[in-house]
Parts: sequence; structure tokens; C-alpha cells
Amino acid sequence: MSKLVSRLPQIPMLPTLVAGFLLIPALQSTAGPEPSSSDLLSLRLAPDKTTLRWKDASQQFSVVATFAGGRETDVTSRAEFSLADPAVARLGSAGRVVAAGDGQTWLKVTFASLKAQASVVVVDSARPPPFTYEKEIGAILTRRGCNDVACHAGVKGQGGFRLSINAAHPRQDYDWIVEGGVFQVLTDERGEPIVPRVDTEAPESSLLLRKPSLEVAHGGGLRLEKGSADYQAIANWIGRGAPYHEGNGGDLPKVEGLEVFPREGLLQEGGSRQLIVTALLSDGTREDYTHRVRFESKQQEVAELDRQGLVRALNPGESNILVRGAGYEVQSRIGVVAEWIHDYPELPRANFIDDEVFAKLRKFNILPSRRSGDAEFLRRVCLDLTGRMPPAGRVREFLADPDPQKREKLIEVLLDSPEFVDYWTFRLADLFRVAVFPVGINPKWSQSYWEWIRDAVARNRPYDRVAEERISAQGYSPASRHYLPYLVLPPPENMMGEEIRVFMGRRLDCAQCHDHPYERWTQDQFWGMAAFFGSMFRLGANPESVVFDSPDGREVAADVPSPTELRVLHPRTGQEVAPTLLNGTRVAFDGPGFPRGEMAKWITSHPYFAEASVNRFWSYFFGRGIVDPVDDFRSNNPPTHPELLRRLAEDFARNGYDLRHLFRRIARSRTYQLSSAVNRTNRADRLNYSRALSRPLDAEILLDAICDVTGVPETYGNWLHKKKGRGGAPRGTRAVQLKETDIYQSTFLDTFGRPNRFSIPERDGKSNLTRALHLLVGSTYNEKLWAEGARVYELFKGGASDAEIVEELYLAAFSRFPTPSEVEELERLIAQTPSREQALRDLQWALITSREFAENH
Amino acid sequence: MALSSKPAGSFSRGWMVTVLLVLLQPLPCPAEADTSGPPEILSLFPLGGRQGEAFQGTLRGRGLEGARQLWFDSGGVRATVLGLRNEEAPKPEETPRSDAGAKPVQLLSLRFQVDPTAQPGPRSLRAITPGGLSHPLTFHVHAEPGHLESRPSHDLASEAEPLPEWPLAVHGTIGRPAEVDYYAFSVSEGERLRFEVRSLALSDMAISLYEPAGSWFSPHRARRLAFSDEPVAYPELSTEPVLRYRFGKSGRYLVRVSGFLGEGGPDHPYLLRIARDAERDKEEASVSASGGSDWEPWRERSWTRKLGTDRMEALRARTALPPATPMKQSAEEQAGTQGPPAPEAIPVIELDGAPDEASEAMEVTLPALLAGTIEHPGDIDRVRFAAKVGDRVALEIETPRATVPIFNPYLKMVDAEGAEVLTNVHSILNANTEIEKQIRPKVIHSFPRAGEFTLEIRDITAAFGGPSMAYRVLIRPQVPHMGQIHLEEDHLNLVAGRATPVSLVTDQEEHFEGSIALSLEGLPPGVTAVAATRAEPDAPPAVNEGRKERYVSRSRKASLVLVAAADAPPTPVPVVVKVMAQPVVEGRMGRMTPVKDLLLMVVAPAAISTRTALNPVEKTVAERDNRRVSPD
Repeated sequence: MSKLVSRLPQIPMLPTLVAGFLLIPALQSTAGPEPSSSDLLSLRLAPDKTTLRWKDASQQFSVVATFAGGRETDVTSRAEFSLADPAVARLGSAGRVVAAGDGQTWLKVTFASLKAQASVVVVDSARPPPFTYEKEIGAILTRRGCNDVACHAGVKGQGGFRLSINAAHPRQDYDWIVEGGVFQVLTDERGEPIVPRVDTEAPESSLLLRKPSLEVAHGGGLRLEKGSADYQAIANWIGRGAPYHEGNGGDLPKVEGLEVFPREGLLQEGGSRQLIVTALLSDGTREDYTHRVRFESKQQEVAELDRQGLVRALNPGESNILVRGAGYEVQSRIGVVAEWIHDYPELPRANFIDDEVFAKLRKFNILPSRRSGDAEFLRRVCLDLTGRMPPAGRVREFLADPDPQKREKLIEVLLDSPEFVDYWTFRLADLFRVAVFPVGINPKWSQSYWEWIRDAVARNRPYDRVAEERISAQGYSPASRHYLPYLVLPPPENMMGEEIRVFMGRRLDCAQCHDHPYERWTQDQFWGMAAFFGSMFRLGANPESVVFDSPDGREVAADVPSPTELRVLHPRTGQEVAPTLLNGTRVAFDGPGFPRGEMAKWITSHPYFAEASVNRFWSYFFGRGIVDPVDDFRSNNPPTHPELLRRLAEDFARNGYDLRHLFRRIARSRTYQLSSAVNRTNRADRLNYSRALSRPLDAEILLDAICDVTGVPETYGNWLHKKKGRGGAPRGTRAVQLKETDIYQSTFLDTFGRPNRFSIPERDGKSNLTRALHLLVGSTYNEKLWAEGARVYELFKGGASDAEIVEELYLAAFSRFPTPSEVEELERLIAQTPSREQALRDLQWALITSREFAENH
Repeated sequence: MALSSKPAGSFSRGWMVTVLLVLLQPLPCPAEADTSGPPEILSLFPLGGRQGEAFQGTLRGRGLEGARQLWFDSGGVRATVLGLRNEEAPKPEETPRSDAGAKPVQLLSLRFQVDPTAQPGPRSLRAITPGGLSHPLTFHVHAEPGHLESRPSHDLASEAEPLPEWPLAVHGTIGRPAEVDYYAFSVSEGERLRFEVRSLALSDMAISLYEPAGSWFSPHRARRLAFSDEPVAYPELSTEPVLRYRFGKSGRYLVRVSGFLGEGGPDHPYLLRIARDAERDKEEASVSASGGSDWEPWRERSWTRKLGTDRMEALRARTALPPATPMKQSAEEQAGTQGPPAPEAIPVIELDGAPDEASEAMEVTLPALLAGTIEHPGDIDRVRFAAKVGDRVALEIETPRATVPIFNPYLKMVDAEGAEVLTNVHSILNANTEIEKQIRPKVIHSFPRAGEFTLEIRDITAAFGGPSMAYRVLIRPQVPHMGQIHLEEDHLNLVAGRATPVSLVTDQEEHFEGSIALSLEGLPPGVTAVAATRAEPDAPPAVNEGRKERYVSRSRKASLVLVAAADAPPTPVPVVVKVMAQPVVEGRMGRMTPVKDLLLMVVAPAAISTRTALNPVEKTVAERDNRRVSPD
């Protein structure tokens, strides 16, 4: 590499934008420590009432102070507690109240000058609580992580011992413990040896205690310290004969859900907050379950917890706190700020997206970055709507345009452009897996499938109609080719799994072999849905194969023995499964329709469809979904902005599932138009859209951009016509325009992450050694620099000055003018290089290998 | 099986009249003459020409030394050979693997003269050399003015080659891989044009229409308006693209011709025709639909053969038993004679508008020709009829408009209890032990019990319907008859002093138990045909072929050996030999029926190899050409 390149400055990543942030008056604010008590507006206790049943029952309370500006702070550890009637209840550790005698009393709390109180009712205080396995032993196993999916609640259990996740099925767990036996995945039969895991004669010899206390080898390590209260509780239970329940324990109300308080909270770095978990019981009462659940912070570098539910804020950011117990799971979202903003500014908003995003930012004490500059916006919106960078001339024109509406006008121009059609056809072709696979080659099929997608984008067909047509595709229709990637139909469960994942954002796959470990999806539901695809058939041979669902759901012309051909059988029971929607509705073959068609209608009219769709498309604009991964909606992967997701989905549905409308809505929002420059408050934020996140360009986009900037197009040859002579894409074809991308050889695309579309593509934008080497010596980067027609070569030949060339290249590559200092420095470096030609080549190379070029920001 | 042969002199029909021969001027050969085999022709440019015009063209091929004549299967075109030269050999790295070791490519310069009265449409063209006759290529005669591609490169919208006024026939070539050709033309608002591309077997062309409107990103960007690649691939359908478009505003537009997947090279010429939509629709279908013959080949199991009210008469013509039996004859009555029922006009029952309810199925008596349409997705048309024990019926299905695989007629016969009796779906268990299903255009059935039955007609999917999904279903008594007779050979080049075997496969339809006598008419002097046996490779047993007898005909194989005597005079031009078949049942001979016209040449022994069948490329060409001559 030449001297010039080695001496080129690191291309600055928006330095002026970062520097400019603090100069924006609208977002000026003052930050500092927690507000003083003079800002305190109100005080409250959570919960505001409780009923304590049984001897020594207790309730954890939390004291919440609200300060000016709406900020809430947990002051439990600093508040003063008292009880109106000590005969009814007594105070435990900070904020905990313990039953003493039957009756009603008030818990009173004082903080600064404010007071609050909560009602405490105590009943059956003299009676010890009836024992139930579920409440006592199941809770211990949950708290200790024994029934976590990574341990004994995994699909196969561990060491032949299987527990239900979070003690969801306590009776089943109890049987495995007390009766013993080895769990087998595909049958209900217990494997040998059938030896109880408890020894009621010698409790401490029980495997249930010896394993977790590491008296014998245990893959899960030390889970239960010998002598701990939990250890003792289990030992005592075994000693009592290991009953499932005692006394009237069987009559106790069942847990029907959990609540956590707060569901959303904000802490200052170094602060802490107590979580309170309440069980909702089947008799309508509530019970403190804080000490019976397991807490887990999903971002442990942001917040950590102890077993009692005390959250400690470690670093600025946001963490989901998972709370698991009694077979349920709830979450609390905890934000951590470095410092409080006392005078949070009013933020300008363009539409409801901003309402939702900014409301959360305010709540989480994060200031959004300023609005992006015109250059930053121009580059980003062109890449996001059309997959290509603006030409240098258009950059000049846009930056010089004084029209205050120019952004809105540009968005409309882009939405109506043929490049928009190219780009979103490419995106959907990726998602819909248009490819010619090395087996079962039939490029006619993939091309007609691609054309169908392109037509849908060009004509702006409602996305729900597109989805319905794809899911229910029959005959020789272009969309039906989706189901024939290899000349044979995939298994029904595979087809169903993909449709649900793409169009509902859910992954049911786990439920194929067993009830879903994280979710409520059961194996029955999985196979009920798979059954919609069970009567599909391929008719005729290649290339005229037709896809159809056997009319009436019965075998068509059963000339050959195929007793199970049209039946989907439950893998565990062996019984035939009827097509059944996730909501339990069975769909029969009656009337002119067919169940798969009915299922398609159900999917596209289900709220999941709109949610999953907007979430996926949102991710193309922001680099992550509101639920992320975008096709992994589940209770323990909640949306960062549930209300935003709901409103986007509603808006999408209300406007006819119009993708252009959705994209317009997003692109016009202030949120989308924020700068990628960070400020003090959002430096650590990657979840709340407080700034634009830089994203690597996908392989095809990057290659097209290199071609645009250098002025040298790529050529694409294909391998399908070896017999007839080589084929290829027409001159000037862009990577995003390749119809069946997998047949065109491209080392660059392969190196930079072109997915193979064998499965739903997941792109990997991470750097690796191969990519680094390609930057240095790859033909794509080096052979386009100096050729007939190459931008820099033509400028050179045309007699352009160094400054003019630098400016032109910056506009083409970065969509911005170079700063005076950049021009000055580059001119100096070019002048120092013996060969001007070499210097200009190096300059071009440096620009197209820089992060500023290779990322969308 | 019986065999006879008849010398050419005894064949009085004027076959040769339909064959236009153009004698060549003697030409110097560019290389040492190599007459070791018949000629192979690769491509032709241009692919045709306008009525009344003379123009030059080039035939690209191998083994063209001594080429002195071109042969057309119908009149109106003459060709004169102007010269022959070897094409510059490509670099080894540019040579397709399949061409390695092949003879050098030659270019035969020609002058074509199209008569003003020549009927527009496609016809077959072949080369004749001392080595024999080549396989055919298609030559198109058109009425509209022609335009030869003039720009060497116009594969960007900004470089589009301007076209004069349409209607127009543009002759161009996709000369290299990844090449596309843009043409510019102008239209008025509301104009509806039809664009179609014809090409040769190696090519698979696509048409795109653009508006050169530019975009924010590039002033040269053209906006695509429409695209056609004719993705439907089915043996009886054309894959040539046709695109119809109504222009909403006046202006300049672009049409692009490209190879599917970008294939290109010297053998990828094309003919792009642009005309007002209605005009082209009225134009020629084909001037050589029967390959220049004066008879229509019999098609039995085809979705597009015509099922008329005279179908029974046509079937009788392929049997050998004269005693006419009543139409309503029972199976028992038929069993002894195998005789066909007396021909009667079959009533046509219109089912469009019939009630959809199963309980309101229209009652019919057999035979009946049902005509209807799958009017909407999920539409099922039904008729009820009565059958007696042992009644043998055949159900034939025709799709006069949309056909398989777009419209897939599914027939199901159920009894009074709703139990399935019969469908036209044939299931087999293939070698991979997967169930493979095919719908069939014909199915036969023998009723094991009497009763009332309902026939349901629908599309096998529940997703489509509309006027194009029309059907005709004929339910009739079975007529044991001679079915189709298959002969792979397209033409024969017989070497004097050698024998050439020819294989035939005869279909026996509807339990036809008789023999089929085969004969050749019009053999040239010194050529005789004798019956022969032929070793057939053992086919692996099918896993489970299902109830094959319902869905496919029984077939028998026959072989003929054509012997050219050592002194058989070489034929300067192809002789049309007619392959004839005649059913024979219980000593009675049926009607003599033409099977195929075979082009035959006798060549001198120097031409040591013979061509008895098409090579894969030739076969593709022939199939494509057959499709082309089908009406649109």
C-alpha cells in the first residue's frame, strides 16, 4: 500500500455532527445528580394494599417518590416505616411486613416531608400454611435454576431427569422426583432405572439433595448449599415422606399469573431498586411471591440482581429483568442513566412514532440526538428506500435546496422511483427465498416467482394480499414455486414453520418435538398447524409441476398404497391431526375452499401478522426490530416499544397494508431522521432509537455502491448454460437486480455475506479476515480504481484539480462535501506522493474501504 | 404385425409438389470436402423475411461441404447458395465443453427470395449435402416490413436502436452472453401492441417494455412497464414470449429482447415482431401445421385434441370390425365382437350456468359431450348418469383454451353413496418411493356394478376459475382401436449398401387386441423395408405403477429395417416416405391410415454414418418447431 494510503487520516465518522450536538438549543438540558427533596412531589407505596394469610406470611413493599418532571425513584431503603397496629403485623427488613395477628392495620411511610400508607389485612395468622409441593419445593427448584431450560427443563432434560420449565407442571415434576425413571424424548415411557430421587428413610442421601450440593458429580455445579434454608426445606419435606401436599394444601388456590412491580423503572448508575412480584391466585386474591421466583437480568453489564429481587444499576443502558416462577414469566424493563436531566426539553415530533419513542426516551432520561443534517439524511434515506447512494450531482442539488419541505418531497420521489422497486424486490426475494438451487434446478420457476414479487412491489399490492397468495399458493402460479425448491414438496412441518416465522414472526419449531420450552405453544398446536399443509401434493413432473391440496382432504386417486400420505400424524401419539389454527379452531374441507387457504386468511387477518410485518420492515430502517430478532416474538423477547409496535401495526392495517405508506411514515418521523452522532445521555443506548445506529451495508448494496462511486459496473456470469455457452446478467445490472442471485458467481458477494437462501436468510454484517483481505487485495476494490470510465480516471483525464477530485469523490462516496481541513490535508498528501495517478487511486481506495462508506448511518 | 413396402413409382400423390428445391450453383469448397456424414445446421440469420422480398442470409453449421440445396416443407421461398467459408475458430477457452472435438463451424451464404404470394408463417428449412439431409430449422415469412438490427451494441436503454413505424419484423441476434438488445419506437395514446419473439432451440428469449423516463438517480434509467418470458413449460405449449400492452400515453418507448439467463452467441438469432394487437391475432397460425402433409396426425391422449360430436366415427375409422353395433349395446353384447357401436352424433350438454349444488347435478344419458367452464375458484360441475354392470366407458377431456399446467381438469366419478369410483389422476410410486401424480386426458373404466353415478369436473386446485378454464368432456362407450403410433425418426439418410433400423411404438387403445400392419409408401428405387426384431434393454421394474391400465394405453414395439441396396442410386432430394398403419382384427383389415411422413435420402457409401434419430439438440429444435406451428 502506498505511502499516501498509510498516511491518510482515519476517515472521520461524522466528527462535525458529534461536535455540533451541544449547539442545538432545542435539546439543551442540564444534567446532574438526583434532584433534591424540594423537587419531591408525591410519595406512594406499592402495593397499596395486601392480605397476609397464614402464619409468618409477609409482603415486600416499595416506596416510590415522584419528583418534578415526573421522575420516579425507589426510596424504600431511605424511608421510615411504621405500623398502626403492631399486634396485626410487624416490620421485617426494609419494606417487608410480616403477619402477627388477625386483623387490619396500616403500614405508614415517611420520606422527606411526605407520607403514604397501605392497608394490611392479616387472616389465619395462627395457622401455618398448608404444604404444597408446587409452592414450596417447586419454588426452590425455580429459584435455584434447576428447572431452567438450560438445565433440567431442556428438551431432553439432563442426565435423564427432566423438570417442567419454571415448575409449569408441578405434578409431573413431582412424579419424576418421587417415582424416578429416565426421561425419553419421543415417548411417555420411563426409561430404566426407575429409582426414586428421594430417600424418605435417609433424606440427605436423596439424589435430589446430593446432586445440587455437589456431594456427587453434577453437571450444573453447586446449586444448593448444604445447610442452606432451601436445602433444609427440601430435606425436611423428604423426611416427612415427600408428600405432594399436606393438610388442605390441595385446596389452595392456584397461581394464575405473576405481576412484577415496577414493570418499567429507571435507576441512576450505582443505584438500586427492589422488585416486587405478586402471584395472582385463582380465588382472586394476591400473594407476595418475591421470594419464590427467580430473577435474571438479560443485560448483566447494565443491571444485576440478587435472589431477593434487588436490582443494582451498574452501567448506563437498559436491561430486561426476567422473573420466573410457578410456571409463569414476567418482565421488568430497567433503564440505567449516568445522570439525571433536570429540565428535559420538549422535542419536536412528526408523527406517532416520535410520540412513542420520545415518551420512552423521556422516561428513561435519554436525550435523542439532534436531527440529522441534510447530507446525513440524504444518504440514509436513499440507502434505506432504494438501496443506493445519491449521485454527487443530486447531493449538491439537495444540499443547496432551501425548500423546508425538501425531505418530504425527496421521500416521495424515492418511493416512486424504479430503484425503489429494484431494492424492495431484492429484499422480499431474500425473505421469500427466491433461488435456483444446485439440486432440482429450474430457473424458470424462480424467475417467475421473482417476477411475481417484483410485480407486487411495482404495483404496490397490499402486503396482506401478497402474503395470503404466497401462503395459499396453488397450481402453476408463480408463488406456488416457493413450495417446490427441490422438485419435491418439503415436509408439512417445514412449510408451516416457515410461513409462521415469515408472516407471524413466531418460531414454533421447538414445539415440533415437545411443548415449546419458552412459550405456550404446544406440540398439539404445532402439528395442528402443520396439518394445513398435509394434503398438499405435487402434480406432474418437472417442469410443469403443479401444487395442489387434495380436494376434500382425501387422497386423490389412491392407486398406490399410501395409507398415511394425506394424514399428518402426531409424533408422540401417532394419532391423525386435523388442521387446527393456533386458536384451536378446526378447519374442515367443506365448500369450495381449502383449509390452507383459510389458514392464509386467518394468518393475514391476525394481529400477529401486522405486528410481525411492521417489525420486520422497521428493522430495515433502524438496524434492529422493535422485537429483535424480528421473527422471534415470544414472551421473554418482548418489544422494546410495545405501544409503538401496536400503533404501527394498526396504522399499517388501517391503510391497507400499504408498504409505501409504512415506509413513508417511518422515513418522515423525527426518530428516523435523528443523527447518528451520540450525546452524553445516549452513548450507551442501542435499543431506544435515540440516535441512528450505523449499520454495515449488505453485500449487494455495498457492491452496487462501489460500482457507483468508482463508475465501473460489475459483470455477472452464470453457470446454468455451460452447454449452450456462458450466460450472464445484462451490462449495467446491479447486484440488487439479480433475479436468481445464487447462480451468478461473485467472490465479493460471497465474501461479504450473500445468503444462500436455503433457509430464511439471516445476514451477517460482521467483519472477518476474508473480508479484510478482500479490502486489501480483492479485485472488486482494486480493479475498479483506474479504468476507462472510472470516475477518478475520467476526472484525472479531464484535468480536474486535486480539490475538485476530492470534492467529487466525497460527494459520491459520503454524500457530503469534504471539510476544508480534509481538503487541505488530502491535497497536501497528494502533492507529497511522487505519482499523482497513484495518489488518486489510493484516495479512491481509501474512501471505498472506509467505514463511513461501508456503513449506513 | 404385417409389413409391406411400395416403390416410389407406385405412389401417385404429388408429394414432391409441395417440396421446393433450389439447385445450387457449383461452389468452391473452402476446405477439403468432408462428406463423412449428414450436415448439421446450427442457426440461420435472419430467421425469415418479408413476402416479395429478396435478401441475403447465413446458415451456420457443420458438414456443409457440397451443400447444394435447401429444402422447405412448403412453398413460396427459394434460396440460392452464394458461398461457404469456415468460421474463425474460437479460442479454446471460449469453446463450450460440448463443442470440444467437433468439426469446424462453417458459414453458408444464401440469397433468399420470398414470393409475394407466400403465405406468412413458419416453415421448416433443411440443408442437403452429399452426406444427406439435415434436421430442420424454422424460417418465418412475414407480411410486415423487416428491419435488420444495425447497431453492434445497444444493450443499454440509452443506446436503444430506433425502429421505424410498426408493424415491423426485427431480425437481430443476441451475439454474446449477457447481451440484450434495446429498440426504441413510438406509439400513440391508447394503442395496444403485441410483441412476440421467435428464436431457435438454443435460445429462450424474453421481452421487456420500458418507458425511458429516467429516474432521480439516473437520467438514463428506464422504467420497466411489462415483461414476458412465457414461463409455462409444457410439451404442447410454446415457450416463445408474447407480450401485449396498452400504452396509456403517447411517446417513445423501448422494447428489450434478452436471453433468459443471458445466454447468447452466434446461434441466438431472433425475430421480434411488433404489431397492433388485433392485427396479429388475425394473422397466420401456420402454413405447415402438418409438416406439409395433407392429413392431420392422430392425437389420442392430448389435452388439446378436438373432441367433436363425430368422435365415434373417427374412432371407428381406427378399428377393423365393420358390423355396426347399436350405440346402447351392453358390455356383454360387445364382449363377443369387440365391435364399435354405430356412429351417432353425440349430444353436447352445456354445463355453464348449471347449479353448483351436488344434489342438483344434471342428469344425462351416455354418450354425452359435456362442455363447460370452471367459472370461479372451487367451481364444480356435475352430471348424473346411469350405468349397467359391465358397461365400459372412456372419458376423454379436452382443454380448448387454457390447458395443463395452468388449468388442470380433475374428474371424479362417485357412486350414489358418494364413494369414489374413478378419477383421471394416476398415482404411481416412483423409484424414490415417492407418490407421483399425473392427471390424464383420458381414462377408461368398466363398471363392476350397476347404478347411478355422478361425474364431477373441476380444477384440481381450488384457487382458479374463469372463462379461459373451459373444458369438453366426452363420456362414451369404449371403442377398441388403434391409437397413436410413435416413430422417433425425423428423417433418414440411408447409405447405399447398408441397413438402417427404425423403431415404432404402437398404442392399443381400449383393449384393442388386434394387430397393426405397418407399411411404407414411396420408398425410392433400391430401398426396401423388412420387419425385424430388436433387443430392448431391460427396464427396471416400477415400484408401483398404480392402476396403469386406466390411464395409459397398452403399447407394442415394432422394428423395421430399411435396406438400401449397394447399387441404390443416391437421391438428389429427399423423398417423402409415408408410414402407414392398418388395424387387423380377426382376419379383417381396417382402414389404411397415415402415421408419419418421413423424409428419406439415399447417399453414396462415402457418407459412412447415417442419421436415424435426432441428436438432443436436433430433437429440441424439432419439438420447438412443432410447438411453433401450433396456433397461438
